Amino acid sequence: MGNNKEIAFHNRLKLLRAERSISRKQLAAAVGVHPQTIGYIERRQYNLSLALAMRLASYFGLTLDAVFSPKPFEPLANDILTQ
Amino acid sequence: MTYFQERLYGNVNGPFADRLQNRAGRRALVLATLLGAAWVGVAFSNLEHGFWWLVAAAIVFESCILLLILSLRGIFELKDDLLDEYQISVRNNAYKTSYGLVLVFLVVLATIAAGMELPRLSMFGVAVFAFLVSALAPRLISAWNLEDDRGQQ
Repeated sequence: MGNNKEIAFHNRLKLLRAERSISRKQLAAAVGVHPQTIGYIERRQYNLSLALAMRLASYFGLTLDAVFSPKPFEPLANDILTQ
Repeated sequence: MTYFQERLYGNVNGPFADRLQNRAGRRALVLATLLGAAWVGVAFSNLEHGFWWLVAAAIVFESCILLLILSLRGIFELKDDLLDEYQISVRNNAYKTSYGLVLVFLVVLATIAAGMELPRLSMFGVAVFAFLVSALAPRLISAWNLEDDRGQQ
């Protein structure tokens, strides 16, 4: 049961984890939540707090808008192809 | 952290609790708990059947509650500092939802029981069932609604 029934933020957590070979458990331990919570965030079943969003973005060394967005992210391949 | 909280925290995050994280299993557990509560109520209504009938009902009911606690990762039993923000929000939402539902449940149950003109001992059994379900309502609602957890990869 997600706490918010409104639109959940899109995120790149799964992609970032895969890119850096980090398990859900490792990421959860680094930001101080349960591994299940990372799963719920990745699947957009829970709208996380700003504090947790900032901890996650800072863990990956990225800005907040690079990790979370209210709109779906463009595929990264599009950015590479247009450069 | 107290000894009880420490042991509980270890168990609800252990491998056995990991196996209880699918939605269908949780819902089956909710139904089993409701049946267990009904059995305890019936056992109280028919005390002439013997003490052991009540003991058996209590053991089944308690086992269901223990499994329910494990499947919910102890979010209703552990202190806030041992939970994360998602778990706290699930717990708080379950309490909010259960207030209204418990009220409706009690009114419906009381209306049905009053219409049936049950003997006094049976009324006591209905009251026991109502008390158990009301006390467990937030846990039952959470377990029913919580999404599937698809592994930790």
